[in-house]
Amino acid sequence: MKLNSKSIGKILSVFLWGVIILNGVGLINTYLFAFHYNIYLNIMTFDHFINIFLGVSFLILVILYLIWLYKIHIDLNHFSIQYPISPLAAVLRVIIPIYNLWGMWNVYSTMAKQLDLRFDTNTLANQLRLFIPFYYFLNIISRGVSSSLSNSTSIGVWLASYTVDLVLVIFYLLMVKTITKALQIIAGESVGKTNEIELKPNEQAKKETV
Amino acid sequence: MGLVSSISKEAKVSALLLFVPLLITVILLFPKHEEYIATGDIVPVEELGVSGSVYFTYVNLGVTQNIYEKLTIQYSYDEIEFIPLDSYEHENYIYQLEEMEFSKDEVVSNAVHLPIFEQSQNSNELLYNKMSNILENSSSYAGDSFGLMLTIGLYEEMYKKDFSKNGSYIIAGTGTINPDYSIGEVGAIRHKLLTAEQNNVDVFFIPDNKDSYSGQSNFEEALEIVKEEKLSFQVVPVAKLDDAISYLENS
Repeated sequence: MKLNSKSIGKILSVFLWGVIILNGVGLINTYLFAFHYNIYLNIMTFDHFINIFLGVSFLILVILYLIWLYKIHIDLNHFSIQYPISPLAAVLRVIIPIYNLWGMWNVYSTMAKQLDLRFDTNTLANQLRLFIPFYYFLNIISRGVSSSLSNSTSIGVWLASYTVDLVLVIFYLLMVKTITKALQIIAGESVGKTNEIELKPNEQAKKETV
Repeated sequence: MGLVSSISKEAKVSALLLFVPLLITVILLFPKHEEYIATGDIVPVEELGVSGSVYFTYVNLGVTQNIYEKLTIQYSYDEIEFIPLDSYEHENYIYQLEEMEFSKDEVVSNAVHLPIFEQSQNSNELLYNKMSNILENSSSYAGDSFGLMLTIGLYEEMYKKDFSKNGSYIIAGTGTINPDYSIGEVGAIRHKLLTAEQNNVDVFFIPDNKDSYSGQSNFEEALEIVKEEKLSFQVVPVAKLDDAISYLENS
């Protein structure tokens, strides 16, 4: 069976890598701004370029992430009828303010619990469980730092913002990779069965003609 | 053709999606040269190392290089005005900033060397130190429009006065100072007055030197702005330093 989230997962991974690189460059630029201003003056336009590119890419990344989250829940619901979170409920858990303080953790801990049920995804469930606290608290810290950016001109806050965002996006990438791998393993069994039928067209054709 | 078809659908979509921020970035970095003036703040002359109770007023002023800068600056300030610059004006802007630095040195020198202060200071070295100290403390401000308030601050310091009556009044203003005690006209009057209003100023000194300048004086311009913006503080016209001092001594 083909995963619903396969294509969006690949696109999301490309964007996450892109944002990691842009964020890293932005962090270096901010460091130069803070400690080597003369060098920074030569790359100021480049820094503006990175800032805008990063900002717009981030918006697209958020949309891609929500679509991916929706689609992996279609897959999870497909593989397990008893899966407790519907695709829409998963997205709502993440986007509704206040509610998402519980929801962000719940979406992934539920997923980890589900993966834990299978022997072949057990290790990935443990990995995911390990990432959740980092992803959760970095998300909260990132929001706090971003909101203080508008009230502060302190270079320390800018550096903190870039650093936290960079680490957070790395954790997102790790989580996407872990979940995608787990879903591929789960789907792999049914893919194997499906392929068995699909890879033997001649046999099927023979049956039809007999 | 073979190469394009061998690229996966996801790679094509990713490239297309990455093109969106790239396009937006290029548009936002398109050159846009405009001068901007926005409200700033009032600053106690104490920050310049002078033991006075009055405030000088600064506004935020600069030039944008592209649409992105214009948008971020627009977002950063409440009251902001943009004035388009042609290529010649834009190229000369940096020289104008250098000129502003020169005029700042001149106005600080004028203030410190006024005869009323020189009489009570023993040596040129003391005057020089005072001037260097003020210039160092004012390094983050450009321009010469703090001359009048700096001089009032020096007057308070020298004659042990407190015109604010222990902080009961916020006294601010703008204007340069000349060696003959006359007050020179300045720019950005609207935004300086709006800054004063935002900071609950009680009294605001403004140059009124019709004799020296043709056209509308700062005070005449201020009267129009006060009416338009319904400003609540008192605007006091001053042509000479004496006008400001006698107003403060007698009120």
